[in-house]
Amino acid sequence: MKIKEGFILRKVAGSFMVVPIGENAAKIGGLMSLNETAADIWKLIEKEDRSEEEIVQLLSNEYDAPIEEIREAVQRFSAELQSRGIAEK
Amino acid sequence: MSGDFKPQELNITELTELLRQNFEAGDGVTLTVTGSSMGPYLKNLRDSVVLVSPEVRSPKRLDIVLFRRDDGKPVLHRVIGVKPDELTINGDAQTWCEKIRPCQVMAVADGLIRKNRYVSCDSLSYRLYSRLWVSLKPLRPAAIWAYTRLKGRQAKP
Repeated sequence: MKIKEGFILRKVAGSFMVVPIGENAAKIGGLMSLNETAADIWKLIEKEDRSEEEIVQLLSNEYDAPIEEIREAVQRFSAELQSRGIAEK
Repeated sequence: MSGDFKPQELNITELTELLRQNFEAGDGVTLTVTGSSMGPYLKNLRDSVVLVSPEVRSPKRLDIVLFRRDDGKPVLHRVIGVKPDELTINGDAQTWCEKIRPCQVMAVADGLIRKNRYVSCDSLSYRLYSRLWVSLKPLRPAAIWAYTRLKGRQAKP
């Protein structure tokens, strides 16, 4: 899974937000804000195509949480990104 | 998380509601620049601003804000003066100012999307530009004239 061209992550007023630029920019639209875990996942797939399991493994090196929890978070976020057309498998 | 990337044409009521929904969720809102009053830096339909709630970013001098005029029209211009009950507002391409009440501010720009690049309103280069452009305001009519002439010359075959 990789983030599609035209979506960038920036800190906006202290929170991480997904900013659509280029062709994806809407005339007016809400910006999705990400919590820290989601932002960490984003950074892993911003420039590189990675499998969900790869992301889970990389995160489990950083986070103390049980691997099942991490896997669930990754799957949830991955589904959200794909349903919004922000990432592709 | 919430978010909506569909292009929309909104009236002031819908705009207020969209801002409210997103700000309540802790999200920002992008808005495409329309008109030329914030030129030459921000161009009609090419550029956008990334807006946050005025509660998250309190309007300061040099901030770009979205405010509601008394006639209901939403306007995106720059703050050039701040008093407890009054903000002085001016478009970058304008020579005249208007005074508004702080409660008229609907949103504050925290970033810009200019020529498809993200510019943080806290970045040094942008703050230098803003400070310089506003301080040179007395020279603005001449600068705009010269810029228009220059663009006109370049457009000739």
